Amino acid sequence: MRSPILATRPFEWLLLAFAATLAPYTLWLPIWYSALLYAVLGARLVQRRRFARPWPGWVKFPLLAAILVLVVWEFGDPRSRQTGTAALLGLTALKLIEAERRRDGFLTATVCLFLVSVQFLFEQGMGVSAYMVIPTLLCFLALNECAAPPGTRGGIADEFGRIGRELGLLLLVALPLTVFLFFSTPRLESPLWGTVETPAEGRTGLSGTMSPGSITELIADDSPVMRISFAGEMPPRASLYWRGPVLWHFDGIAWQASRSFLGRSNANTPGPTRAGEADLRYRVLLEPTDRRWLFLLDYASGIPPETLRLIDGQVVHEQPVKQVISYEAAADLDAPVPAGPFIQEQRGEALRLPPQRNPQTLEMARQWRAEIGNNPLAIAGRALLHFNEQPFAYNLSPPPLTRVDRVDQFLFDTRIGFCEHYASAFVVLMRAAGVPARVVTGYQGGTWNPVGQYLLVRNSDAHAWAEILVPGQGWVRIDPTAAIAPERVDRGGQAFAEPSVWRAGGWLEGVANRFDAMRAWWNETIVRFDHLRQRRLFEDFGLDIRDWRQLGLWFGIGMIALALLSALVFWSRRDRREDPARRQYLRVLRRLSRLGVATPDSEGARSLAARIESERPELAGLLRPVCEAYETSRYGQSGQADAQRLEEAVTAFLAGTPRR
Amino acid sequence: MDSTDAPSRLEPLWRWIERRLPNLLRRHRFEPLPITLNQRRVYIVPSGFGLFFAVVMFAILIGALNYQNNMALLFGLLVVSIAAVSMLQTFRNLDQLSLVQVAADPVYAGDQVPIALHLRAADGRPRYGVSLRLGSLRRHIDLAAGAIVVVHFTAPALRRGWFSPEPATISTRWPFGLFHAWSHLHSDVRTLVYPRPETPAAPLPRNPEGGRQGGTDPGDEDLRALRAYAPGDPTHLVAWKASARMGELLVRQLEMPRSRETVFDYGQITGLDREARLSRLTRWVIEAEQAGIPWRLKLPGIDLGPDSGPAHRLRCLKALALHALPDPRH
Repeated sequence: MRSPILATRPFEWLLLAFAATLAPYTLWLPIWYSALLYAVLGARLVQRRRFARPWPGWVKFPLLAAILVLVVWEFGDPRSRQTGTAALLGLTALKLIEAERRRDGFLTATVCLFLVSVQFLFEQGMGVSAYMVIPTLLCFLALNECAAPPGTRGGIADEFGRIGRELGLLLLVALPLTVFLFFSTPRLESPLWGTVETPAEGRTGLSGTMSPGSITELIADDSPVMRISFAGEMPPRASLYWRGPVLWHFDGIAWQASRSFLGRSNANTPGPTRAGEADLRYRVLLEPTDRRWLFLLDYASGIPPETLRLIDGQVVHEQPVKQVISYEAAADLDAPVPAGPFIQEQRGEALRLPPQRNPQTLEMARQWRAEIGNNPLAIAGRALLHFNEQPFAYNLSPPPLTRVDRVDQFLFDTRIGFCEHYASAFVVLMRAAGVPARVVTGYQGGTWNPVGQYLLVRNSDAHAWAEILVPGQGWVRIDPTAAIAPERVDRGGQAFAEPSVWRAGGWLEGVANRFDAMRAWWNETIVRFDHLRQRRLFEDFGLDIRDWRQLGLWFGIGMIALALLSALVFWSRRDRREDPARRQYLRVLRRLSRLGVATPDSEGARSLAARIESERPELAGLLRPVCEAYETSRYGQSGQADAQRLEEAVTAFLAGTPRR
Repeated sequence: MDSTDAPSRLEPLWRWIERRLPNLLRRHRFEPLPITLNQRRVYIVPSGFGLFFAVVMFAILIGALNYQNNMALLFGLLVVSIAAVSMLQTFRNLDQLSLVQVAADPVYAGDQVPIALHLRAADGRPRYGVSLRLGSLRRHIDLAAGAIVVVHFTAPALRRGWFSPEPATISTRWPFGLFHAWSHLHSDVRTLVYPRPETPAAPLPRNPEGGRQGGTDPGDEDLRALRAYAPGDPTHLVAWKASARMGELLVRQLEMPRSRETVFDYGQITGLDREARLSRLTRWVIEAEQAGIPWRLKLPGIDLGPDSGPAHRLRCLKALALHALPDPRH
């Protein structure tokens, strides 16, 4: 049996549903591919409206081959998730080209729903998730139209009123069910196959290297990096240095992490040297960065599980952070980072400079060393004084550095730059003066969100500073930018960015805060809900989900309660439908029909009695009192006596007649 | 059907099923109208597409759990919940739907019986995409809230006698095609199928005693014996010459003295089998009524008339239709 023809209405809903499903994919698909797919859809719409002739095979098959070849050519590995998804999108578009039957419609709508779910493998943010409601509903509307038999309507999409009513009823029941299932579906502790990851397409953030301009890009990026809630009061913003990658190696242009063992793990690194001060406890919700490092305040006294501490004090995760993760830590603010083991190797690495570069800078540093002697803190103070006295300026768009001796050009020529220029020049000065120094990148400050009671750190809060090795203390943080532009650390990176209504003081700040608090809640409650949280949630109800017997018991109790509840609803409705006299009478009618007497609804009690008189005289004697009592109690002055009489008559009838 | 005729050991089981789950099986007996569908009468199973859909949703949920992707899981559960609730909606699309009337008109054997099912949503909700099947015919309807929708079918009337339309199947896959709900509507409405009128027509008998020798031509076309043509008059009665003279179509009024009556006697027709005799009598009854002649119909055990007019005709046709047939209900 061939499936019926797919009518125009369901087809166009289907096309719309697919176009909506495709939309979020355009964020990472190559633009030519998105354009090709939309062009195919448009051409198909025009062809189906204007021309009866279907697309010929010599168009369809080369198109199919072209899409598959182009996808593999563009994405490479045919087994990768991107390739598979892009190919499935192309095949669905091609399926729409030849969709002429209702079963094609059902198939395509189901594949669209599948594609909606695949989209979440790439992006789980609140915005995209909220958008995905649209293609989902469109898919169901398309299914609704496809399921309508010829000549009838799907009904749901006809009028806005009906959309409201039908979808309202549907969602009224479906949404609570969804929420219940979401929290109660058992989560896996480890995947059954493959690895858990979300590829980071075009994700921004600190890169692990620093060259002039690399942080400026971030200043313009308002996307959130992490949200921090503090156990107590929030410390002053100026002392919030979120420590990230430590950069040791300078080639004259760019700073990079150490290539030696210093960038490796060190299980023996001691805790903070200065003990006794109350630890500042805080909890971080880190957005996916696609990198392994975590950002912690200065030197954490304890590191979160599943992380490692490197010799240079960085804390890194075991896996690149592909999903929102959370961790707790405690910090001793402004305490130096302990030097740790391999002090000789660290010193050597922290004094190395590119050879034959920046002669002016080296000369100035050597002079300071000669004047001050071997006193790292005093030399650092001299450098900061230099930045302060000379006409240095903080500017986010400094003139480009073009000479081979870039530090010379910055220190003695342009004198305009921002944190990365100052951190870089400062460390070069220190090393030239014989003080071991390194660059630290990370984030500084953040924005307090009073709605969600947390500190929001954005990419625009990216910062770079320096650490110098002071014998007996460890690595001491020096922020040269603070010497030039103290407001940078007081008010955050936005102090130098373009004024915006979304930022501090703007009238939309409240809206932005609320929105970000919602986003944080989303990440915390929905995206991050895993087996541990699930266990905790059920423990709140006194349930240990690891105990299967207990779980089964509660499940059984729940099911029985549900069954009793629905029985109660059912019987109460049934009672309301029929009044007591009618119910008694119906018992008699049921017995009669079992005995082979037709009892049409249209027949009244009196005429039934008369008919039985002639048809089944043997029943008449018992039936007559029933009919009379029923008539009086139903239509007469109803009283308790009548009801009593009816009940007696009914009982007598039921007792006096055979069951069958 | 067989088991109702011959009681078997399964009979109590069938009767129990029929009582608890009316309309699950088409063998259910005739029911008086109105037939209102309820949870005992509406049956529902996943459609083929519903099963495919379930497989895809299962794949989505397993994938989401495996990749610990909560958004995909949330989405999959939302879709599954919507699909589950749509089961309720599919049922509600038939629930409280009422077959309030079945109109089936009498026809002659060999014609098509027009059957009109009158459906109404008893609870004032609109219904969409309701399909009805009777025999091999399918009709699809939407019902506005409270409105009565008439669905027309035809069924071939093969034999004279009582005709009961076979049970209509009412079904729906609304709203998403994931579930198939159905019920059988088996009303007790029946109609008569009259014997097929004989063609070509034999001339009417004129003589109360003579069976076939009657029907002599009136010969001269006396104007007093002519009347205006009425639709349905047989063409051989048209007085062509007189019509040409008068400028309008006239038919011969068959001459009939009041004292004599026309008798259509089953026993007087010879040389034909029973059905052929009934066919001839049927034809005569139709013609006599058209011609306005009073007639008397004699069947074994039945003597109707003499009388004339449509009521008498219907009485006679009913007697002819049911002649020598048992009432199927007893």
